[in-house]
Amino acid sequence: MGKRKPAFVVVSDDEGTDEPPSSEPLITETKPFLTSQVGDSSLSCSIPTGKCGLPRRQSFTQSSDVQAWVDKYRPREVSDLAVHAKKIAEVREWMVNKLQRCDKPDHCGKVLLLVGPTGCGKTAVISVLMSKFEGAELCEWDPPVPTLWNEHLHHVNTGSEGYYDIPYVSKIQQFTEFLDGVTRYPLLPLPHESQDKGNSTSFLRKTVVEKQKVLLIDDLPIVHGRESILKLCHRLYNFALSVQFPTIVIVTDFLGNEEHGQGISTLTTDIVHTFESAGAKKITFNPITAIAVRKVLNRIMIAEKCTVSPELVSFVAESCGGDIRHAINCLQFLCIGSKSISCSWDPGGDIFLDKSKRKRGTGDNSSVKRKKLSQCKLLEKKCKSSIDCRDSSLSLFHALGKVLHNKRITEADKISGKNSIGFILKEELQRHPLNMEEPETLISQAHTDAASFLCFLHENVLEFVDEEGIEDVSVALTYFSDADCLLKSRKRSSSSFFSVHASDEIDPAHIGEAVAGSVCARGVLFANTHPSKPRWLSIRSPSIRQVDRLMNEKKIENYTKLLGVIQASHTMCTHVVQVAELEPLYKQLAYRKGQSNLTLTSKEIGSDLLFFPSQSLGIFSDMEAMDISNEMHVDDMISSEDEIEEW
Amino acid sequence: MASAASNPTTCSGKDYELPWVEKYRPHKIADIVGNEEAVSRLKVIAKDGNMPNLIFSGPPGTGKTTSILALAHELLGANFKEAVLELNASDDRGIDVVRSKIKMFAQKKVTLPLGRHKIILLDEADSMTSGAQQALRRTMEIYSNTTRFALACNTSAKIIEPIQSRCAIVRFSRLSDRDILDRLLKVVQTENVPYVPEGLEAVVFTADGDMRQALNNLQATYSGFHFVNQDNVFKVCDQPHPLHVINIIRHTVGGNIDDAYAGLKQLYDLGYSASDIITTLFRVVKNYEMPEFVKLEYLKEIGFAHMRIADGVGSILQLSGLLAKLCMARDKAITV
Repeated sequence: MGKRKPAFVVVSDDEGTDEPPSSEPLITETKPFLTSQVGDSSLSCSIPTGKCGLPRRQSFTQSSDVQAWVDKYRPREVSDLAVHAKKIAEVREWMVNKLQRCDKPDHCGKVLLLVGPTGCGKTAVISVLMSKFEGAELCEWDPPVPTLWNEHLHHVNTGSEGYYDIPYVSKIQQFTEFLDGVTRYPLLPLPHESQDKGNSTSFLRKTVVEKQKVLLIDDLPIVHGRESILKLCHRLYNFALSVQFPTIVIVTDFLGNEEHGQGISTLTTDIVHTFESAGAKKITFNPITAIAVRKVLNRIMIAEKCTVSPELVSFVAESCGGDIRHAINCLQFLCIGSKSISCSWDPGGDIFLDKSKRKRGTGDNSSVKRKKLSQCKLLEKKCKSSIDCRDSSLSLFHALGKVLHNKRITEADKISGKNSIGFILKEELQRHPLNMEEPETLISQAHTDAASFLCFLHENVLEFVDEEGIEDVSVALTYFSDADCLLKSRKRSSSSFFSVHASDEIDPAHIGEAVAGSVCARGVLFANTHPSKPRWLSIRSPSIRQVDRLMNEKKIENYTKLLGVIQASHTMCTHVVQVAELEPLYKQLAYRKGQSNLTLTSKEIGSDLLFFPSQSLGIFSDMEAMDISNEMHVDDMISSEDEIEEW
Repeated sequence: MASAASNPTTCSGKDYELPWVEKYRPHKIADIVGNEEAVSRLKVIAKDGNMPNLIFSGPPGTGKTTSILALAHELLGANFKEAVLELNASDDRGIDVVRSKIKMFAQKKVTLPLGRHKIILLDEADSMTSGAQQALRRTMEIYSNTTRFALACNTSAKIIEPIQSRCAIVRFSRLSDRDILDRLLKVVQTENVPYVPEGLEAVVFTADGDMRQALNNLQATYSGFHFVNQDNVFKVCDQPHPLHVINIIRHTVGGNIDDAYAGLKQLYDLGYSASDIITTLFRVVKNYEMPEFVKLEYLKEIGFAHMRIADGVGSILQLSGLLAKLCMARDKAITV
């Protein structure tokens, strides 16, 4: 009991932050009260809840100048949202269905699942739309402050009384308890509130009490290992079936890098499958389009009266990869420099000043070409750019541009090497001196690893070589393949079975990467003897990345399906077998079932299979889970050829 | 030195030596060298307040931690002690700690002037587990009114996307040799270190854009030999002397394999491992003046040789094979 309550109290309290500073006093007023109430009833978890009233209230006295822009320009109206209108409509429809026709007893679809990459406005949509519904209130699961394991050990060892008060509870257990509590006692602390209330603002409260609760779960516990993932999924599945009131679950979907990502992305897919099979409605949010991001950024710029060139804004908008929050953060950081233009004592400010002047100068002759040129210049100006957006940085584009455009000093004599070396190069191997920094310096300023630099160069080099330069391309590709070879050796040597962190510890690996980087950059520079005419060429991000990403997603999807098959049939099979034999079988089954047009896709069967045993047989034993996870691990490691041999 | 060790209580002035890295760590943002654009923005933040959540990323020894600390000091001044929570990789930063310690701190009330916020410094944030980072996510958002985060890491890719999304990323790149040299000169003057310019050059070479390493090497050389010249520096740092390596390269560029091999043999007999030698070779070739094509081929061959050495074939045979290939690359390029 005591655990569950604060979780909800914090929630409404948390809602207070999202309100503009001028929000009605109602919410502020409640805080001291909540504090005391919680303080009476519960244990360790209540302390933070009580305290968090303080900074909040302080924030009401703060002027909005000291807020982060992300908070300051948090969307408040539906029109502020940069999310696609269709998605908003979908969410709203769900809310209307659930909130206004709540008397109808339907158990199937009480859960709404929002999936999307980070920063695409999932939470913003919910909070904006919910604020429009008069009769509903948003509650949020807020993980309680845990007992530290060390403290727990200390208490156990010393045998002090405190130990009995604060036992150590695992995260998943806390969450499970919370879910249990929620399903068992559907009406949340509200009636409680109204009874105890009474004294100061009771007449105001009366209206609020009637509000309907919508539960928001954002901070799902993170679990590792097959066993606990399944436990969590099972729990969520039961929860989704039995929950009495509308619930919104937000799942942030991201494919991280090797060491962080894998565990979480499988967890995400598992959770999504769980909810889907329990009849939850799933709405997938896409990354926000660059145009929408730019619109928001421009609005903020006008409100802030800061002078960042429009090119820069659109660059930020395009390179943030659909993450609007990050775009706003970037913009704020960029504007920090530009606001001090007036005093322009810093080199960064000078650059901006310079740019805005030029812009005004060329503003009159608005030929597209000029504009594009100035865009080129702008990129060059950003030579030491230190800020960037998540994946693709401005500085990366700058470095790529330099390498690809291949600017050389043409007036000077070709380097014949006579002066310093003492021999003369063959005519076809001589080049004009480079009109740029050393390629190694460029790469180190690009803030990227050699592998992605190589990918980018490979993707874009064709555009930058003239029609006649087909031989040049072949030379460049030779060097690319060499560089790739150098990189692959690094991967093979460092990413062995368990040493995940080896890559950044070994110094030689660093050298290998540096060599690969300079070979690919210098290779392009050397090979490109017919650079195409100076014009504006956009730099594409390598498609190989998307292929990789898709492949990873597919792999994960296959794993989940495979798992289902293993559970159902209690046989072992690898994913080669799965792809070659089971997939066609699924399709055939789908036809047999009479569902034409493959409406019942293999995916659905897979997910059916996944949950079939857990419903009918109960959760299978731990041993099996261990086996399966081991098996999958092995699958991971063995390449497909090995598997074929095995079979 | 010995006296300082025997009675550390009277550690004043010369007797007690702080590591120079600490002694000369800049305390003001204005004193930070390199990365001008990033630093200039930090200056503005220090003046105006309202620090956004920041991720500092860059290779070691480029001033990330220094600038975070300087920024926090300038922003908070006397309140530094109560308004800053600093956690680095040596602290426990699991999910529990994030959920309790960091959250508690975020909820703490500190009276600060307008526009100033409590700051949580997470140094070496890339060593935090992804679970802990996930747990940080909500805390970061909920308390953004009173608390801001500054994270330092070597590669921002190791910070999970949701955290990256909530921060502005400040990139630090390796310091230029010029910057490091300037700072070394300052230190050398204040410490009255006897030196020759070549010695400092050697220190800069060994540091490879890492200020911390440069200062450490300088101090090590000074306390070991009381004189900073090239030989002493390379003795302390125990790297193949680049002058030797430059000679080898010069011989290969001249097509003189016998002399090149003699130089290599000498280095190898001094006890340097193949990977030591190849590392220095790479650094030297990178900056050696030679025609573009030759340089490209040299780098490529060095890369392949390094690959074999990293696979465990670190014999002198590999290195001499490399020399032969370098000579051949040169022969391929010249006119007959």
